Amino acid sequence: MPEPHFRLKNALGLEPRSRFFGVRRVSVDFESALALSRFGLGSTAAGLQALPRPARDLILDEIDRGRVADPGHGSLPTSEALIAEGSGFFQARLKPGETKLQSPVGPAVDAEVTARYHDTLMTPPVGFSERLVMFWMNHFAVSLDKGTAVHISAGAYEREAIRPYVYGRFTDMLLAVETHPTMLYYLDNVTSTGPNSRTGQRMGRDINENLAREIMELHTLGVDSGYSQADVTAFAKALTGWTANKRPGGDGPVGGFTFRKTLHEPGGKTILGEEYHEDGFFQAADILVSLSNHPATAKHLSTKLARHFVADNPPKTLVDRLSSTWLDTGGDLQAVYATLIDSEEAWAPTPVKLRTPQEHLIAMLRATDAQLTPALIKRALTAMGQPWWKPPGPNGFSDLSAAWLTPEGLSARMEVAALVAAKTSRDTDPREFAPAILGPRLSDGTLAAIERADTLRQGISLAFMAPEFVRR
Amino acid sequence: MLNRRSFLTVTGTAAFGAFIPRVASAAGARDPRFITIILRGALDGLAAVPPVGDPGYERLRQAFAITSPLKLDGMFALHPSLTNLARQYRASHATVIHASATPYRARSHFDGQDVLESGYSIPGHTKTGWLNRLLKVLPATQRAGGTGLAVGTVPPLVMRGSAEVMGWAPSSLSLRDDNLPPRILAMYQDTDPALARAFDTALATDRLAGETTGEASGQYSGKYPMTGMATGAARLLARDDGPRVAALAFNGWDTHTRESKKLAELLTDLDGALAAFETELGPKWKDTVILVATEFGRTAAINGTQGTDHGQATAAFLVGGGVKGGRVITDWPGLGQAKLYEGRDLMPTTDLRAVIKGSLTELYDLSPSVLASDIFPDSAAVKPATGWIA
Repeated sequence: MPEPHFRLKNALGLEPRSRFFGVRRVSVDFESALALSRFGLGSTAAGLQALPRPARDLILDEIDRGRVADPGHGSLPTSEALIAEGSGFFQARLKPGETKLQSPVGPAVDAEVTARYHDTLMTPPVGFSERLVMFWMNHFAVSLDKGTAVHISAGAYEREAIRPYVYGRFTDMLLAVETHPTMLYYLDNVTSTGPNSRTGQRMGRDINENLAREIMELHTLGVDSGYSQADVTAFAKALTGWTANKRPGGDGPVGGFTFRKTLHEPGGKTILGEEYHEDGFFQAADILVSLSNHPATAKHLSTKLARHFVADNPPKTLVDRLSSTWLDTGGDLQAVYATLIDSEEAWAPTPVKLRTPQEHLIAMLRATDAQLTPALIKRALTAMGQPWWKPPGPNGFSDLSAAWLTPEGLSARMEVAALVAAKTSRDTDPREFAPAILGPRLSDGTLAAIERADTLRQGISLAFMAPEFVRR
Repeated sequence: MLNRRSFLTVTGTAAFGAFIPRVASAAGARDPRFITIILRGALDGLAAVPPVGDPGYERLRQAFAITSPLKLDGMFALHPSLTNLARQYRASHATVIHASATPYRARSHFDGQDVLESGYSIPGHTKTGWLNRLLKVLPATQRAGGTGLAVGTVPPLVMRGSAEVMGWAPSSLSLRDDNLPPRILAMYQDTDPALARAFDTALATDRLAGETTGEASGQYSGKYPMTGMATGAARLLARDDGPRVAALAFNGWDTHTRESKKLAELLTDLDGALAAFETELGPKWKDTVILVATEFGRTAAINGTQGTDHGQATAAFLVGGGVKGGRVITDWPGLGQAKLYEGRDLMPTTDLRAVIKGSLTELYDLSPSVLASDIFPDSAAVKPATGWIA
């Protein structure tokens, strides 16, 4: 039987290369290779060698700079404009002679996908900030399935309520999220009405607890952290009146946030034993500030960050360290991320996390010159089990690698890998490509498998499915 | 063997109800396949099963009334795209449950699907589904296949939960390189045992589902995705060592605009899926019960964009050789303006939970208390209706 590389050579008409002489072993430090996948978006097509400095330094620079890219660079519409457009469309009716109305929802979503997948996710050398954006978007999850208002404005919500606050204080992000119309629609607060408010009295309407419950359970304190049903109900009452303008002629532009006093349940509220006097909009805002500074919130979020970047069951020492930074700095996220990057536990050389399907697709696209249309990007994400901004519930997509390591999930990743490989330019040689993007993480076993490939494209697919590429 | 009735006679009390499944299961004689198909987006029940005998129907639908419907009885007909279902109906293998609905009375897909799939009476319970909780109380014989089957990379909520579930997803991107899967497996075997195990299972499942021959996916994936999913799922369910309980979700039923054309395509595919189950399940078909349900119905009248908007009651179906079929079961509310829910939607008269609970009672002899607490929480007031299973 001939040497494997001869088979490749014969199939491709290329010169054989010895694993020991021909293949370029990239001289990049192991830690940078690890950092690109664990804390970043994966190597760009230029390869790890194109990194100007060690990846760890680049990440700390990103944190210091404290700025996050703006998808579309200001060209994409605001949530107000989008929600107004969506509601206008669904009130419109066909005029005589028209056969079809073009919904603005699909194009709006596709523009958001394009702005990210063709730009903000592709260009940064490491992409720690974009990983954080995805982390927080999943923490404060909304779903396109909820209805037109959420569907059309989810991207604007991410641009307006998540991105500007990624390097700020958690309190500020929390306030931005919970006052954002997209979240108020998603968790049903737009119609929540205090039973003793003017509207409640007149129309016999009542509160909807959804937002209050999810803020406590998912966004801040965490489940089983000591709050009661009475706390949820009182908080829901405090949140009544936080809504969005649905019609023109209200107290602000259609689609924008408004505090509507006629929906607000009057009176003081007691939450976690603390009294909040009646103060209109500021009552619930004060409660949010308290929740954001609660030790249970610090622990909940520290655990989630460590779980996302390091391990399904993160080391307690790491969680404690993040948590104490959080409490010492009043939830200064820049300080929390810096603590994470400076922690020994975050740099274990053997990866135990799987890239999520979304991270996997991004890494494949960054590593090649392949470009997918928004439709194909959404199809690929759906096939792999992480449909674009459609998590199964308000708790977001699972951040446990165990949940992603499924037979059907891996099988779908293979199909996406083959799809991206098929769109990669024909002169990409996987024997150079794999070392360039994986650096010293590339194992001999994987390299041997790639060298045995029948075709160049198959070799690239194998690199995409390699344990070093799938795990981070 | 003691059946439920004689057990009750012997003990003279229903107090031991909770223990019945272990003692004397009707499933002793039967090894059923129970499949739930969720139609996501809200099926227009008045178009799928038009009440052609109701004088209100033509008035509401006018030019959009279904032409050449397949008559079921003096009152109801099937949409002409449902030719296989009509055949199954005539063979007494399909029952329509009309004017049925979940307890959800608002109009959000998301929340409506939560209620339908979680089995709770209110939205917000997105962690476990009633079918997964059913798996946990089934007698051991019914867990011979080890697991339930969830079709799709993301299991439908109805099948999510702590009971073990096997997943299978039809190929949706049509892989053209047959040599790639074995190459990846070989790479994992050399480098990563955990990935190798999972990938090996994926290849084995695909093989059983007919995936590697391209039959389940290639043939259908483009034009008839539902038929493709059903074909693969049925092949897995047909095996003696395969799963007994399955969940599939079919998307796209939200027909706000140009409903006639869209619905004809969707119903053709659904009809193909029901035929595929019959063909592929072979000898198991006689013990098969397929529940087809959607989150809610649509407005009784046509809207301004030649479609229908979110409504309330709709049609559900029980299909399979195990079904006492050939019937339309309904407490028909009528389509007169005053009879419509909020003046716009078909009025719900049958709680879908009564149908599902009744079917499960007959299939598995589950106790009312288990059904009213574990499977459909807080549903004690909704008594299981029986008479669904042949």
